[in-house]
Amino acid sequence: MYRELDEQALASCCSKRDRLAEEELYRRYADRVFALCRRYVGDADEAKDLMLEALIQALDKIDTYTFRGKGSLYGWISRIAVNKAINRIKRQRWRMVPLDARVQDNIPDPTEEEMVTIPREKLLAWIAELPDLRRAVFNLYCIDGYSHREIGKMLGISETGSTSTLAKARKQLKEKITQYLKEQDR
Amino acid sequence: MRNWEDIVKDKLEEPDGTLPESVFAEFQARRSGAAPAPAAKRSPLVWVVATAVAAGLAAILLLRKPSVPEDSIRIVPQPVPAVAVASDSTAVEAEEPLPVRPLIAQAPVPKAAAPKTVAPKAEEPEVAEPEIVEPEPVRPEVVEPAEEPAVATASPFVPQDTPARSVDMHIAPAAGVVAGGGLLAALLAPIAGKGDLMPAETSHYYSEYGNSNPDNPMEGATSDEVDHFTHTFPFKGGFSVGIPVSDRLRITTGLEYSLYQTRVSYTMVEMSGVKKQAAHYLGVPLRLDWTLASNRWLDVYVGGGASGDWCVGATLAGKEIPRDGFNFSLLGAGGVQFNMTRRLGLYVEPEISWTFPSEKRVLETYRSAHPFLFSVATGLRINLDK
Repeated sequence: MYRELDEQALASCCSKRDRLAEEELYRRYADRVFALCRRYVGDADEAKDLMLEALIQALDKIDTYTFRGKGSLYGWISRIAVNKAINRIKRQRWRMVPLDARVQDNIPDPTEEEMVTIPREKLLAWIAELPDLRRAVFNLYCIDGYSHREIGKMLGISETGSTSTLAKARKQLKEKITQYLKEQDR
Repeated sequence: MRNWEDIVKDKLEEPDGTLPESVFAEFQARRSGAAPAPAAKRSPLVWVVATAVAAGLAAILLLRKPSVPEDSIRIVPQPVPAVAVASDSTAVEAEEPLPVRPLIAQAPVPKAAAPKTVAPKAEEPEVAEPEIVEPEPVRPEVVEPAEEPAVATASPFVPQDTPARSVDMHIAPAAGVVAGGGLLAALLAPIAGKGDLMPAETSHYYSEYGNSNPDNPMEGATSDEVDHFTHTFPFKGGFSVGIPVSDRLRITTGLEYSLYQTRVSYTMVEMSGVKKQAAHYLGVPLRLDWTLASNRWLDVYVGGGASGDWCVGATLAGKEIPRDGFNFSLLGAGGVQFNMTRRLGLYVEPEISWTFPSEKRVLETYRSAHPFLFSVATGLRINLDK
């Protein structure tokens, strides 16, 4: 019965502390929120904990959710998860930045055909290898669509810092992709 | 043709269905309150190391106090000349040449206040012996006397070859924390630059403080001498600004206050005592810092650079005395900054500095005794563009 509920109705049932509605919310969004958290924190176990915290906080504060169209419930939950992930990164982050202080990105962008051949797990692993700040900026900008200004406010860095950090993250990922593609060609 | 980042986004946005069923059970347990949320993971090793470093520095500061070895006290038997005109400085001078050290300002001692009884000193039994040669000072250069011994003996504080190591204080092992290019420069500077640490012109100092009572040439006009100096570890504090150059590099500058306190023990014919000298300096350091590690609360860095210091005030027993001129130092530092807010932090910096010799230095302070100086500075720092 709960599988047919739209987002607004589901949220309304959850606000009444309907256990079945809450479990339905978990079933609908846990996988996607887990994938989001894993992109940010890199580690699967940590991502699982983060995902559970985000869902439980979302259910605790479901009364504050306002329906704004299809997909807005997931957008609201993912915003909670991103904020939690960022806070965790900021608490734990030791900025042991590699010594590539200046970015000279001469690596050509991989083609669409090349990118299709790369497994999802590889991409996740390479993103997990990025330093915390670079990983956060890459996820926020390239995947979740935040602006550098918003990223700066969330991470406590300047817009310039966000731009340069993104450039370094892109360069580092392209190096990994290029190296993987070369190994596959052999 | 799509951008490679869009392809990455498409691949990573969609879930892969790898969540096990046990996670759902955990969710149910947490939601019902049966299973508490796991405690946040800590990284104890980092905090243990940081705490150990801070505790070590605190222990060094608190426990290592300057001591005055007995052999640093030099008693030279002196006849009392009838006229306070130095004719024979050899009786005053020790075996090694005695440079002029306009170090002490003799405050005019009111007759009523001056004790006429000789305060017995427990450390002066060997009056009949020639001066005890103290251990070789750390400074490699030999201080040559100028032509001022004659003038000096007119002063109650006869300039002696004040032992540079009257304060027996070694650079603490914690100096190993300091690194960077500035440290290397500070180490090389003694080799590159040698100079006479003694100011060439001291007559102005003595004319003002050598004899405080021109009506009575005899006042203090004996070959009395300063027994020893006891320097207190300098206090440094200030306000600093960090200007980032790159992800790790930062230019640090600001304003730094230093306090150098010295207790001067003197023995005159009929009196002895201790006077307190305080010298206040304002300095502007300029340093390039390299961030070793940082997180939201803590920054650890090393750096090197230079500093210019101006003596803004000096007193002896509450009375103003001539001040040092401009001092230039090379320095290397390591530090820990506690980030109170995003841009404001409290720093603690162990620092090694080498102060260049200067003819404008007139005061005897911890820095003049130890041009290669270990100190700890603390203060507030604003981090721009952080």
